[in-house]
Parts: sequence; C-alpha cells; structure tokens
Amino acid sequence: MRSHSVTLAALLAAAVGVTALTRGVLEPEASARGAVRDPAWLPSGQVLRIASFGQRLLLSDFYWLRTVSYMGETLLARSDRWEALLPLTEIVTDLDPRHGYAYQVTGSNLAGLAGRHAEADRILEKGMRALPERWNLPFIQATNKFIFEQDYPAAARLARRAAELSKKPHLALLAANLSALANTDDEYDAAAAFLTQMLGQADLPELRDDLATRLTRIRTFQVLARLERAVTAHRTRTGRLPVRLGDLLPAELTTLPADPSGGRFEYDPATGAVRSSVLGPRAPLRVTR
Amino acid sequence: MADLAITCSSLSKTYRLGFRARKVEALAALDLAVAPGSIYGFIGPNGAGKSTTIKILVGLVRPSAGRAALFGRDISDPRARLSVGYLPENPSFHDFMRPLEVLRYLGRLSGLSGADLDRRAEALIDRVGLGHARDLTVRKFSKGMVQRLGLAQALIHDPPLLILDEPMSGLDPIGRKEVRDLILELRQQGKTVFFSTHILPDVESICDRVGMVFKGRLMKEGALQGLLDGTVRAVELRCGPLTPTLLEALAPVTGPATALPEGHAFSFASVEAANLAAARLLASGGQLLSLLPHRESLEETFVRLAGAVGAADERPLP
Amino acid sequence: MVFAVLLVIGSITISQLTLGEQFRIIANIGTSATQVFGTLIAVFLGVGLVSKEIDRRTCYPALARPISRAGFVTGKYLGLLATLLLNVVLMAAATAAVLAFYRGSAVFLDFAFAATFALTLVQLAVCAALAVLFSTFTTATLAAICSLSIVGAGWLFGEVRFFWLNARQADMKQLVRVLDVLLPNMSLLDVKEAVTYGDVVTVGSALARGAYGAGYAAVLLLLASVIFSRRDIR
Repeated sequence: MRSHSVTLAALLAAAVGVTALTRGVLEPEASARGAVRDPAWLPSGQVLRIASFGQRLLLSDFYWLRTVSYMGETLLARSDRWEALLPLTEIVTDLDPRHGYAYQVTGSNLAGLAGRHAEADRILEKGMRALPERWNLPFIQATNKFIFEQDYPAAARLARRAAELSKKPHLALLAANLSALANTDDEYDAAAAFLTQMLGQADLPELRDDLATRLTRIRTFQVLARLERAVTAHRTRTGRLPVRLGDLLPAELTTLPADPSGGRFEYDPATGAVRSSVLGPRAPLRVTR
Repeated sequence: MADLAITCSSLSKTYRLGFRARKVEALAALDLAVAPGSIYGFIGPNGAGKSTTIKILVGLVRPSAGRAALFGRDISDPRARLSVGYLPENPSFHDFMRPLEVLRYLGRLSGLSGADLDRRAEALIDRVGLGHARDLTVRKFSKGMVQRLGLAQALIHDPPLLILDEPMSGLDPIGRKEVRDLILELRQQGKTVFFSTHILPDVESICDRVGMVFKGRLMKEGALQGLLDGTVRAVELRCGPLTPTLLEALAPVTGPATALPEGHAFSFASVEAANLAAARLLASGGQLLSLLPHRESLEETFVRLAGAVGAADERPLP
Repeated sequence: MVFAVLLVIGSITISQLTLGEQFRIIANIGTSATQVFGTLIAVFLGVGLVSKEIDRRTCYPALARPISRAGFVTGKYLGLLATLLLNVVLMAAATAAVLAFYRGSAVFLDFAFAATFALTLVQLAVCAALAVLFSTFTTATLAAICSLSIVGAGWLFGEVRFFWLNARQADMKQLVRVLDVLLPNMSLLDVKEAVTYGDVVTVGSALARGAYGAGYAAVLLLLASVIFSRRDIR
C-alpha cells in the first residue's frame, strides 16, 4: 500500500516535471512566433475571406491587430524591414474592404516610415477604389507625394480631390499652395478653376476672403511664372537679360500682362527677378493655410 | 360497436433493422378486444410482441397493417390518447424535474391546467406514496420511486383506460402489492386496466381476462376462469400415516403412495376415483387430511402453449 | 454564454491594442460572438432536443398524450428558440452597454443595430431547425456534425456564390442555382456590417431577410415533423 502511494507520487512528480520543462522550452518559441518574418507565409486574404464562415470582420480585426503589432515591433527593433506591412494590410482589407483606417495608417507609414512609395500608392489606391467617398485617403496620398516624393502636381491633384470629398474648402487652399509649388501653367489653371468653384460653394465670410485672396495670389503667381519663363527664354536667345520687361515683346510675349493683384510688375535688370508691387516675388508659400 | 376500450384488428408490425433493412415481424395480424371496466392481463414471453402492441396503442409505433382503436376512436387520431393513461416499461423522466413538475408538464400535455392540475398532482403524489420525495429531483429517485411516479403520471388526467407496460417490474414485494391494490381500486372506479407482464401470479390474482401472445400472435384469450376451469387435471389426497399392510390393501384403489412428513399422499386422475379411495381409506380407519383438486395453472397453460409454438427460440426484439 | 458576455466586456481591453477605431473592434466582437456562440448553442442544444428524449425514453409518457408528433417537435423547437432569444437579447444588451460606455452616448442604437441582432436570431433559428431536423433521424453526434457542416457550407456559399456566378463555365451557374435552393445562404441574414459602419438598414430589407430565414427554418421544421411523425419510438 505504501509503495503504491510512493509510485503514484513519483509518477505525478514526473508528469508535472515534464510539463514544466516542455513549457519552459516552448514558451519563448511560441511568443516569438507572433512576429511576422516572411510575408510569403501569410495566407491570401481572398481565401481567408471564404474560409471565415461569415466572420470576416472579426478576422480582419485580428489581422489588423497583427499589423499594428508588426509596426510596433519593427519600429522598436529599428529595422528597415517593412516587407510584411503591405501584405498584412492587403489581408486586412481583402477581408474587410471598408476598413478605411487600415488603408490610411498603412498608406502613410509605408511612405513615411518605410520609404516604400509604390506600395503606399498601391494600398491607398486600393482604398480609394473601395471607399471612393473617404477623403482621408487622397489627402494622405497628397501628403506622401508632397513630403516624400516632391511630386507637387500629383499632390495638388489629390489634395483637390480630398477637398472636394470632404467639403472642406481649407483643403482647397492647401491644394492651391501645392499647385504653386508645381509651378506649371496647367497647375495654376487647375488651381484657379478649383478655387473659383470652391468660392461658389463657400458661405463663411472669412473663408470666402481666404479663398479670394488665394485665388488672386495664384493668378498673380501664374503671370509671374510666365514672365520668369519669358525672361529665361530671352536670355537663352540673346545671351543676356532684358533691360526692361518691354524687351520681351514681341519675341517672348505678345502683350505685357497686367498684375492680377492690382499692382504692377517690377523688374530688376541686374538679377532678372520679377515681382508684384502688391504681393512681392513668387515665393514658396506656407503649405498649410 | 358499443365502444370497447381497446380493439385491434389484424394489427401487424414489421420492423426493418439495420442498414440492410432486415425485416423482423414483431406482430402478425393480432386481434384484440378489451371491454370497459375489466382488468386485462397481456402475457407472453420476452419479444412476443407485448410491448409492440402497447406502443402501437399509445401511438409510439405505427402499425404496418391493421387497425386499432381506443373507445372507438382510431389511434391515428391523437385525440384517441385523451382517454388513456400509459405507464412505459422502465419509465424515465427528465431528471432535473421534481415529481410535481413532471406531473404538471405531462398533465398540461393531456389538456389539464391551473388549479385543477395542481390539485390532482398533489393528490397523486400522496396516492402513489411519493409525498416524502416531493422536493427531490427525479435524478435522486430509486427505481421503485420512478415506477410510482410513472403510475402517477398515467393517472394525472383521470383516464378511463390505463395501459401499463410491466407495471410490477422493479418493485419490491410491498410495492407490487400496492400496485395490485391500486389496479383493483381502479376497476372499482369503473376504469379499464390493460397491462402486460411476465409475472403470472400477478395475473392470476387480479385479472378478469387474459390474452397470451406468442411470436406476435394472440394464441389464447378469454376470461381467467374460462382459461383455467376447463379440466381438473388431478386430485391429490393426503392422509395420516398408514401401516404398510393398509397401504398394500388400499393399493388397488389408490395407486402408488408418496411419503410425506405427516403421512402419505396419493394422486388421482378424477374426482370420482379420489372419492372412492377416500371412502375406502376412512372405512379402513385411515385419517383423511385433505382432498385437493389440481387445475391447470396459468403457468402450465403458458408453458404448454409456449412449447406448442416453439417460443423457446425467442427472437430478440428491441 | 457567460463566457460570451465576458468576451464582449473584454473587448474593451482588446480594442485598446489597436490604433484608433476601437469602436469597430468592440462592435465586431459583440456581433461575432453572438453569432458564433449562438450557433454553437443552437446546434448542440438542438441535436439533443429530440434524440436525447428518445435515447433516455423521456418522450414516452409525453408522446402517449393527445398531442401530435409535429406538435411535440414544434414545441421543443419553440422552447429552444426562446432560449436563443434570451441569449441574443443578453448579448445585444452587453454589446450595447459596452459600446455606450466606450462612446459615452447611445447614438449607435438605431434600427440597424436592432435588425442585426434580430437577424442573428433568425440565423440561429435556421441552425436550430437544421439540428432538430437531423436529430429526428440520426444520433446527436452525427446530427451536430451534419448541421454544423451545412451551416458552414451556407456561410461559404454566401462568399463563393459571387465568384461562381462570374465564372466562365456555364455549369457553375447551374450549380449555383441548385445550391441556392438547397443551402441556407447565411450571408443574406448577416447585416452586422451595419453596426460596424453605421449603415442604414431599411425596414423592407430587414423584413425580407427575416422572411427568407424564417421560411427556410419553417421548411426544415416541417421536414423534421414529417420524419418524426413516421418514426417508430422503440
């Protein structure tokens, strides 16, 4: 009887020992497994969607939490390996194409943290197809284009789209500034047209003032840019700067334009710089407001 | 037809068993008529078709052919079961319920409700001797208590007909006597009791009529007295001790003797022969203790019939 | 059940793991938990509903009463439905409470919220009817496997139906037509996105979806009644 209990106690101790030992071995491995190492191992979002048995929203949330922790881990590890961020977000948004926040966060982080601009464009464009009404998506792509790629025409176009969707005319001011950075004739036209359109919709007096001021500035800058191009063209043709603006006629310009801001254009023959007597030189604008 | 409590005509049931739908004939053209106000014992070996008949009558099994009716109402009509109280063989109830809850649940299914149902349930709990167990769940019941609860539920709606499948099984001798008394009391109230059993003494002691079923057929049926009265098989005479001389002298009329502690016993084929021997015995100074006619008992009839149909090769039936 | 409610309450903690949009995680966990746990309850209670009564012979004294087999099956089914209703109401209340606590207002409590949980009950009614149907002619284990498979197939079919309809092969379309009739299209009964995204659910759409599910469950229950009526209880 005694030997019986001793055997039982020994067996019990052995069993407890084995579980404790294996747990000690397995647990570090198990917690390391949460990390995504190779995106090739990630399942396809479409397959998951079919296999979700109607719980794709929940599954989408689950993969979103994995995506968030992946971002956290990658940042903490200060590694530049971001290759799983897009595949993870693809899964999240395949499972729930309306998960707008996922497009936004991944869209800005892919560009800002990872420098993967093509991937950022891809996820944001997927988001805009799925959620054409969500203004944050073109807005984020506009900031990406502006800050990280310096693609001002694209940034301006996206900012105008965001302004239109959001019914936030302030974004039209931003779009106009981006157009000014782009500094092409077409962009000035597009910005002027958009500001005019927004002016028709705005009803707050301060906002109308802002829009009208910005419209004048864009038009003035457009003319200043045209004059600058004419001055450059003159120097290329003749080998020196024009003495006064009138020298640009008739080769570079057919007529001398008026200053849309109501002042007149001042020309410095020493430097070739053109400025408006009211608004000053065509200068980079603050991007916000 | 003046509504009989139970009528069956050419009632047949063939079960299909297993994947290959092997056919097993449980009941073959059974005819049965039970008059109201009687106690009918339905006997037969295991697997003879007793339970199948009963299950057809209470609607648990559908007959393959033939018809059956309770008080003139065909059993295919659920309303036929309004007039019947049924005690299944080895009854079983939801084990989380208390006896009163069982009775209320089943009573409601029989169309009772409200205070009437509560009153009847209370009374029956006491009537079947479960008063002490009213706060226990059925889970804690002994087999005998479950059987008592089964009887109570069969009686809850005060039906004119009771169909009891092996009502004595699982009961101790006291319980069996109580059930016998209950059945007799029910007859006094004018109810019809139809019960199956393989405990033959129970049948002999309380039944008015008996049906014997073998291999799905009703082999013998009739009033208990009719079944037994037919013939006196033997008469036994017992007397005080006889001297060997006297034994020898009486041998021509008595035949061989059997020794008993109190004397001797003789067996005679007829009452007349026994009377003659008794007269001789008394005349020669012997002491007559008893003179008993031996009728064929139900058990003997049963065994004889069973031998006739070869019921020894019983088929197992579910 | 208790676990499901705890899960919904625990969803606050889970939702804090994410960046923004905690609302959607709480809402998703609430609606999904109602569906998943409800389905399991419906199937596992449903398969025992009839088969357990037969196995344990508790139905003998009941079926010998003046009630029809169909009445018995329907009564048991309605009892189960009442249990599921209680379950769904509790889950809806827990989800609403957690969302209200998180949001500080009850603006999300609109018709769509009510319709989502009401239609979840309809889904569970279909699951329960499947379970009851199978339990009238097979064992509880087999019935559970069969009903869960069909419910699962119903969900899968709701997702792949679209792809198959756009497939090149014409026979796929035939298959879709057949499966449309045979399988319960569970996604038709699922409007939980409305809670997550605050979509509008029209009364007409909710009623039509409810009628589809109720009709499907009714067909199953009728079949169950017919099969059970023909069954010998031995």
